[in-house]
Amino acid sequence: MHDPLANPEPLIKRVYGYVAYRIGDGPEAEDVTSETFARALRYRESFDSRRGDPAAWLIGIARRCIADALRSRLNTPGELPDVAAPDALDERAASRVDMTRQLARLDVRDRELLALRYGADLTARQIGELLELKTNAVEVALHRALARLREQVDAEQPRPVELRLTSQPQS
Amino acid sequence: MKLFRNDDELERELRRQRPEPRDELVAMVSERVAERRRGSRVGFRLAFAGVLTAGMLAGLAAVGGLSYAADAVQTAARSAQHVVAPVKHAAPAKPAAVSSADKQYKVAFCKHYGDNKNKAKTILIDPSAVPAQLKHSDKGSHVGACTSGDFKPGKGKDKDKKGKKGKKGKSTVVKKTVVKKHGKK
Repeated sequence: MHDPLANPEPLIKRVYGYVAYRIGDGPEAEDVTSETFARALRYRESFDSRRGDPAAWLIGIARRCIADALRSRLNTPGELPDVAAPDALDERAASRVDMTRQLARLDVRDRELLALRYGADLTARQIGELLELKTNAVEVALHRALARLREQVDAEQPRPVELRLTSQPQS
Repeated sequence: MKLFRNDDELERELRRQRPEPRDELVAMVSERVAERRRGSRVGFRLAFAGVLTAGMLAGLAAVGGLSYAADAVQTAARSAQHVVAPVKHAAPAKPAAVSSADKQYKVAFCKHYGDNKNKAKTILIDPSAVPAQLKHSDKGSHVGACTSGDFKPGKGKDKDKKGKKGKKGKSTVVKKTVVKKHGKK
């Protein structure tokens, strides 16, 4: 039998990337990642290499762990969890908060798709198998989600400096 | 203002900013996985050994090897028993006066000489020498001490004079032949 956890390190990174894009980077994402691997160890006999690779199998487990975590917390699903304030994070983390926050503002469906694609690094086909969708349907949905994200990011960009300066009254 | 000109740039940024787990988390989860895998390997080995044993037993049973193996085990057990607690060779009839060392190493043998029924005497011989004695001794010789049956009352004389014919016709001739072994007398 092929052991799905034979090389865990890259899998941990992929699972964490997915979880953090789904619920935000921080302790809660770490808890969910840890719980995902605990469940994977418990149920690894159920892994069937013919049905997919270990990463897709783990992401399937992580999705259920996220659902449990979201159910147990009082926050509404669309909000970010309580994470450290940006000034308390290191420079690298601060630079990533923007994209994580942008994802958090998308609807659940778009966030899920983008997290699976760019957090877990799954292919459109693997995503289709997880979500029971056809591959081309996933590709189209991903394209639309990206377009919405881009619009959202563009809408939040500050206006050019000269415009702001002209609009401010002279003291 | 457009920050990302196309989807490719946005995709690249999403990948670049993908949250990375802390090293401590990676180490902790990896260690937990490794521990469980080590544990399962031991279980797998035990299971493999069990399956292998069952297979071998099934194979042996098919060719009647189990009874052979059982015999071998019994023989081994007997050998082990001999080593741990050596069994004293029970002589059919022990001579009346033998030393403890003689008892331990020798067996009594009633040896007849020629046709003279009165000429017989009990000797102590090594157990391994019994077959040879039986083969080469005269008729009437046997394992065990000589008894009255080995002598014909009233005929001939007991030249050894070790035993005398009693009133009731019972006589036991015991010749203590000490074969020195291990330097003991």
